[in-house]
Amino acid sequence: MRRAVVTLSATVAGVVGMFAYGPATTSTPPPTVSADGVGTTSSDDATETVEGQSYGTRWGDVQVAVTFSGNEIVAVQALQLPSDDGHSQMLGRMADQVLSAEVVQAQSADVDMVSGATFTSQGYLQSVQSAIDAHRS
Amino acid sequence: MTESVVRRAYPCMGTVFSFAVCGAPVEVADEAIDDAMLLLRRLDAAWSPFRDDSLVSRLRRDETVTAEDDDPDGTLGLEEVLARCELAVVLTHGAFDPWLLPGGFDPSGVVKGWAVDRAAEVLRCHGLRDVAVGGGGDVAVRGNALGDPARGWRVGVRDPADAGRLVATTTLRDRGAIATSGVYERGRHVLDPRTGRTAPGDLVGLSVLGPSLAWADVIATAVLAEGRVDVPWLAGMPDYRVLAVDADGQLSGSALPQVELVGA
Repeated sequence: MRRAVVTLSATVAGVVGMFAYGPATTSTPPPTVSADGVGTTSSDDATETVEGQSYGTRWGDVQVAVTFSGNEIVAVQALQLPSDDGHSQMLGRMADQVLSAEVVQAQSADVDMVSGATFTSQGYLQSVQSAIDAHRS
Repeated sequence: MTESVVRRAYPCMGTVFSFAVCGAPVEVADEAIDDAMLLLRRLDAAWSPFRDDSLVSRLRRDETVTAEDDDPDGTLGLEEVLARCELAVVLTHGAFDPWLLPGGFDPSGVVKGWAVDRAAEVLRCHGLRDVAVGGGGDVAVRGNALGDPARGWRVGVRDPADAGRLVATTTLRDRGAIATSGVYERGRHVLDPRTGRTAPGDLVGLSVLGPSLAWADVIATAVLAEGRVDVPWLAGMPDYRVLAVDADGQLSGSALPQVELVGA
């Protein structure tokens, strides 16, 4: 049985596009923050938005809000992102990682290129996971 | 490799674009790659839903956007992207519909793969015949690695649950693409526009192989929304094959005959 992990998919890399330009605008009401730092709000009958915890990365703090429909994630919004300087450094670092990962993989597996999610932002994933955990509880 | 390959990677569109260029001196390759990145940054500015002044943001606000908002030669692809979006809705029987997304019109499912194809075109315009371009986990190739038709471009498919591992490899030749999409474990973010709900099933990774990355990307998004690989509308596009990975790491799909599985 495969270990359950939250992976940042290539498609969701579009969501990571938020890192380039700042938080997405949203029409949901502002989340209320509970004592443990994770907030919830109901945007309509069918969905619930849960605020994940804020995590520090070397480039700055990252915090997301996850919208659930039942137990399915339907949207992820960035609430807090590194500063412009911080996030461009982060993206540059990701580029380095992609390059070195591709070279290593190419050499070890006799491939020239690799398709699939190529990088993760740990702070982002941890914030998403905290929202998932809060939603389940 | 006996012949050198110039490799570069740069961030853009919130992801990373990577390049592999064969058979050219470093300076020539770099000039072409820099040109490709210039175009990608312009496309990013035009198509990012997170920039208030982008074409797509203006479309979402129902502002009038005309051909005059594009370059005279259509560099930003305003007409082309909209035409591809309309065609994508028809071809996927509505499983892909950028107008019915929760946040409003969002052509990102078309733009990403299309942008990679455009970048590859820029390299070819610089006279580079054997190139591969990656963007956001997708790959487009032209020509063959080392200029060798017997070799083609060998492309690995990452394990959706373990980015350091490959589940399969395949060979693309002359003009090929592979688009790979995935989902959060137990959380599906891809909605079926026709129902407004996420799809059932346990697909965790999906790759689409075919001649155009723009279309492979659309198909990958649409199949993921459907939650299954045996969708009827795919039958009309035999050049595009799918490779699915389920939660148990099992592979399935019409691309199976043309890939090599990587041992566990």
